[in-house]
Amino acid sequence: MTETFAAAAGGVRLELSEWQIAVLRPLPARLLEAGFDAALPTSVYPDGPDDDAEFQRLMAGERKQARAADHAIVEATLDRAADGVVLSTGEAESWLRVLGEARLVLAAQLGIDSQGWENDGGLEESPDLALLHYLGWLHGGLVDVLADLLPA
Amino acid sequence: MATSRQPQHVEDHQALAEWHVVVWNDPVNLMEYVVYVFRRLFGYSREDATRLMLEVHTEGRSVVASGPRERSEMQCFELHRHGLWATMEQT
Repeated sequence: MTETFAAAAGGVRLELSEWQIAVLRPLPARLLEAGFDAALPTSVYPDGPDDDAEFQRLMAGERKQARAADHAIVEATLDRAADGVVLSTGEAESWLRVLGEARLVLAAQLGIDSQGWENDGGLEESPDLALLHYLGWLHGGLVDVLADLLPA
Repeated sequence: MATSRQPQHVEDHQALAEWHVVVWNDPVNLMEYVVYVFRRLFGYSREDATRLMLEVHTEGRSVVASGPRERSEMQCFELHRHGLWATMEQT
């Protein structure tokens, strides 16, 4: 069986089946609708509301721009993945962040807020929970490939 | 004369003070992903990154970097961008 993500000259090779593409295609739009802040606290000064407001004012635009760039890379490379596409390391890292964001958003929408949910079952009743597990498998595979590219 | 601005030496002190970047535990991010992010953003070895990740997992939080305020803010921004929950606290 072909690995979804594999090390390749120039970066990371991504190959997806048609059903994988169909599962992943709606994700960027779904993430955009959910909003990044819904899944992750972005406060840096929990005890300093004024400092925090200033940080958010300065960084919100950049955060939005970076997130949109990651989503655009995933959307642009998704369809080409049917025949296999080599992602640059930067593109692979965009995939890494989008898969991670998708997991956080899905978990928030499922009300997951404590450890141990992976063993609670319920996959048959919840397509989103099944998707969360599947994205974890994809995410872990990409982490393994990118980790091997870092200096030891 | 009273002024709303802080004295210069106070501003200087705040700018120069050391800040901790704290990463908090969450139930969703994969352990190996957190290790990867620590290595990628801070240049930690696999062993050091794993130790910090385990501290986050078992203690609920870990100080992953310390330094000037502006640099710490950028590190928090990057951690948030990677989906990790990070805050700052003054040393």
